[in-house]
Amino acid sequence: MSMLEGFLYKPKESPLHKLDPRSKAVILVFYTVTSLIYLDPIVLILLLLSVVLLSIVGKCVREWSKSVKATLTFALVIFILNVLASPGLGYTYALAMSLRFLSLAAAFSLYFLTTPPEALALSLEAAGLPRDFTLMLTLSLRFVPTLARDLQIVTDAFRSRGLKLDSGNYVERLYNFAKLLTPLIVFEIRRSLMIAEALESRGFGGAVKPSLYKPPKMSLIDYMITAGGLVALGVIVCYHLGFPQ
Amino acid sequence: MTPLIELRDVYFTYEGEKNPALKGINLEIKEGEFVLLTGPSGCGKSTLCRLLNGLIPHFYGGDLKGEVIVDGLDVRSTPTYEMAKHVGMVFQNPENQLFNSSVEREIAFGLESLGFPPDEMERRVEEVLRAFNLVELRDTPPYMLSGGQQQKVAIASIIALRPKIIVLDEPTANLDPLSAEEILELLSVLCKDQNITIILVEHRLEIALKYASRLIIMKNGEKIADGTPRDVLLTKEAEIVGIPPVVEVYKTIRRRYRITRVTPLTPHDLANLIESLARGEGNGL
Repeated sequence: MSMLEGFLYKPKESPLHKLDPRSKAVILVFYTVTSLIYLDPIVLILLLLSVVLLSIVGKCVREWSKSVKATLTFALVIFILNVLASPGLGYTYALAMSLRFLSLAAAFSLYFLTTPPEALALSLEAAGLPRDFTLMLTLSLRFVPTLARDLQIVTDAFRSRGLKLDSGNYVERLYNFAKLLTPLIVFEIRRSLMIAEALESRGFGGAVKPSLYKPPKMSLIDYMITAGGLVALGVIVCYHLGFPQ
Repeated sequence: MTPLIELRDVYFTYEGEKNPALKGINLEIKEGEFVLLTGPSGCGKSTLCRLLNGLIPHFYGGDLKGEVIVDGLDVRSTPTYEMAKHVGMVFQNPENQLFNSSVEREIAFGLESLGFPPDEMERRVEEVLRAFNLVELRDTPPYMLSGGQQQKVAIASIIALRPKIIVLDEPTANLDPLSAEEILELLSVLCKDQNITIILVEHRLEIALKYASRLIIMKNGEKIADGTPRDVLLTKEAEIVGIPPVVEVYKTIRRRYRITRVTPLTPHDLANLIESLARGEGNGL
């Protein structure tokens, strides 16, 4: 659970929080592409260090390091698997593979920590994505706490009728938890119907293309970062492919 | 004046069900009426609500017979998103009808969906925020508000579409009595000041009655009583919905002292009635 928390938005005042999700996405693409084309551990460590710097700028070192710590186990597994599976390639290769995973996770975690999901959905919609998709994104995040509460309600109801969820061995407990699923699924299907009804009643799904109330605006800094990110991306890709002679 | 809502011989059976949810409903509602719709659970109130904004037959499939005309539109041939401009719908659970990150976005949602131009949207959102006293809460996420405020936002968000009719399916069921009273008061103001027709499904008659100009009682998919609250409450049919204590007291007085007065709907009305009787006005005490 703590790993997932490292990907949840934390509202704060920082230069990173103020950036438009789109310009930040360009930087994220730069990190992704770079870490995927380079297998040099030095480059990957430099990438990782730059994410550390960015997390300081974004004032979310603590939350960010939590998610990185959680991914360390996976990185270790990747290292061991690579050493075992391809002994011919050596430790450097295995190290690069786990560093690649680590830097990707670190960059994505920082992105989601500093980007409110609704701002992301809004900028995606402004970029031309249909509302059906952006609404799916906002709704799924919006109803996470509701779902957690529903689970609590169902659990309480079953407990009060004598279902044992805290005692017994793992198999018994798992078996008892599975009993919660049917009512919970019925509960949520019913809820989703009610949400759909409300959406329809507010004109959703109409024949016209939805308009946007207060569309997100890119600032000068956003444009500069986008331009800089795109240039850097171009340079890296060209360098990797070999500059045209 | 032609009625705003007209139902003629309406029967509706949900898909996969044997028994019809609505049986032979005939109903005419005029502009500016405040209709209180009540009846035991499963009597067809919610089905009737869904019919008025086209959720039936467009969202819920089934067999619909008869004629349903709402604000001059045939619900059969008008999709729900089109009906949304004429009929606003508020549901019981505020949580399931608020999906946005801020109150102002919530109010703009319907306008966005119907493709309103940005300047018109902004004008209407500002207007509604002011009218509903929500200016200070504009950036607050709706799910952080109290139940009463949430329902207020839900109503505000449909008012932005300027419907002639608002249908509310048990909007106060999740609210404490004080917030419930506030919501009903708000509806009453909308009805009086803007001539918006209100159709309210409500079980708590004792708090809703004083706002209603008409009371309809349903049972097993049929309309069994329809008229002014003061008349309907004295009928035998009204007994199935639980008559408010104030009316029960009046009925006892009426029986015991053989007097007839205007049916009291609030404790205040009743106090006045007893006072006038004690002073010896008219026949009786």
